[in-house]
Amino acid sequence: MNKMRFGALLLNAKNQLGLYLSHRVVLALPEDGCPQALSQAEFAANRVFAFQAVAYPFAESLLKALQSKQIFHNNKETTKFLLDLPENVKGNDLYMHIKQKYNVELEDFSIRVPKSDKKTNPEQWSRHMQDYDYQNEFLKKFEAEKKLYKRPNILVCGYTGSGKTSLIQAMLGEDLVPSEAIGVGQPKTMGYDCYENNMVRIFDSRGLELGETEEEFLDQTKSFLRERQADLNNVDEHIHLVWYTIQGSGARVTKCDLELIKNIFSEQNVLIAFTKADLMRNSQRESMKQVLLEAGIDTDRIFFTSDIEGGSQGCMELMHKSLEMLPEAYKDAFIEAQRLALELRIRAVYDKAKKAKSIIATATAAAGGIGATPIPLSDAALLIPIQVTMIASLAALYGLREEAVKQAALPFLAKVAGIFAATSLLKLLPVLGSAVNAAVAASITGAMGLYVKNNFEQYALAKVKGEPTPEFSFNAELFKQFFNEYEKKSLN
Amino acid sequence: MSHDLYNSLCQEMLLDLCYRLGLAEEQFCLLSDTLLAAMSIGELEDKQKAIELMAAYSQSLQIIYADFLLLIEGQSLLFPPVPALWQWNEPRAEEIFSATAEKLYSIAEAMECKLRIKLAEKEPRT
Repeated sequence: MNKMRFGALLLNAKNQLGLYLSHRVVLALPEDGCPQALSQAEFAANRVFAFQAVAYPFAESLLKALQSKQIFHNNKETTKFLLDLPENVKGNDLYMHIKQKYNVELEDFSIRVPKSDKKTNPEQWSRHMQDYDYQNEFLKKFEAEKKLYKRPNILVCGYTGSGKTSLIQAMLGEDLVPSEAIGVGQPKTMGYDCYENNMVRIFDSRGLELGETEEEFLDQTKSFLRERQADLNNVDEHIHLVWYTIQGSGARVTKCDLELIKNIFSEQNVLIAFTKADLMRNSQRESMKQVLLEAGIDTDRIFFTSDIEGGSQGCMELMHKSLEMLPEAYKDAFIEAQRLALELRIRAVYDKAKKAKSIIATATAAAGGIGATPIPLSDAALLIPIQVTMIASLAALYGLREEAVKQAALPFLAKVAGIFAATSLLKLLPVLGSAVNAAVAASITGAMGLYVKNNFEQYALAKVKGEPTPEFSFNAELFKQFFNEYEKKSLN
Repeated sequence: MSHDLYNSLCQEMLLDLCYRLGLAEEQFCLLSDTLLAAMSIGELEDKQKAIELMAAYSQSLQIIYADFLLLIEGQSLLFPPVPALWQWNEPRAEEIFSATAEKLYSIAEAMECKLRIKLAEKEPRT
């Protein structure tokens, strides 16, 4: 906690007394003469009387003295008034008198330099800004931020032709799997294909192919899993969920299926999907399910799915169960990745508002720090690095894709950088005057954050709904509204 | 003492309050980091530290507010109580802790705003 407040009684190495007026000024109380305003460095206080007990009455006295227009002719009069001393106290007895009167001890004292002061050297920043490549910085920060959003790894495993790829498409959309991966009468997946986007990574397992034994299939799956889970510390690379597919029509549950489900995958992360279930008779469904139940597999991990015209059957249940089983950190990304429950995805976009608010609040606080010492308007561009970081974090939060970043976010950022040129900013926000202080710097950044968040949210919602994504344009009038609203909110 | 001297001392004190709010903001940043860690990782040590930091931040603001009232008219303010350790076990623990931190931060923001306005009154923009 900061041990400083108005009127705190300071003592330096020469046993001189002074009153704390600010982090820059001490009112020194010399033996003779009137109180003198000295800089903290000149006075060099190293001890303070327990500030809570004595500071408040001293500060009150000081203000009373200032307001009373009373004239003090010498130090004796001043100290007597300020410290409420009896007539007979001499300069050397001050320490003892205060100690007795307030029952307080001296404590070590030093003035701290706030970190933000280091940031508020406009000259240094101006030099820095000349070399600042905001586009590159943005891309670097965007890449770094993207890594913070975890995506689940899902292994889709099963015999060749068991409908793995179709299941992936039904669950996660057709654009995830390239169309050449789907064929008829041919093994559709060779080895382990990896399909990924910003939200999910799918490993489409090699199926059991002609000429291959079940043992080889088991070994291969086992070594794939071992490889993925090898680095115990890097759980992001582990397989978080397995969808095990069994072709429903005309097939059966083999020993190899049971071995994989029971002994190779973990019970906590495998779900079984009978695909092409529309072609199964009821009795067939029951008997296949029975085999799994007898092997000790819970009924709520068994699903019958089919990809028929008019929508996929059973996939919604599989999606909900998958969501339930995924570790917490990966759930958000999965909600975004799945293509079955639109309302869940829309809600997920709106839920990002809280996190967005905290990103904006962090940037606003940092901007306030820069403006703690008012900076000339011509140096308002000092705020750009903070805003670049904020926009990159928001872009990553709202899942902007690389191409959207390059096509839309970067030109948008150029516009933002442009308006921070002094003349544009002044034209846009004539309330600024000639300097930007902490409150204004914070308001500009806060308003910019809300404005960008609004744009990115609209973009994410359009993506979810499959509508054309809006262009990021900079609407000066709208930004002004955000700025005014933000300022009004801060003042209240 | 002259009106000018009174004004410049008051201005100095207003700037000092801004400075102290700046220091308190560093405390808030540390508090936010720790709260985030406590919420995401859930270690008892982080939870305890978050409470300590929140109490320290609240106390700093209370001292600043007491000095603030010497210079700017205002009412005495009821600071939100710092939640206790057991409240981490409440079903809405994250909301409770975030709301308290946010409330404290908004008090700091409001103080800073008023200080800036007061400073601007004393030194009219050119």
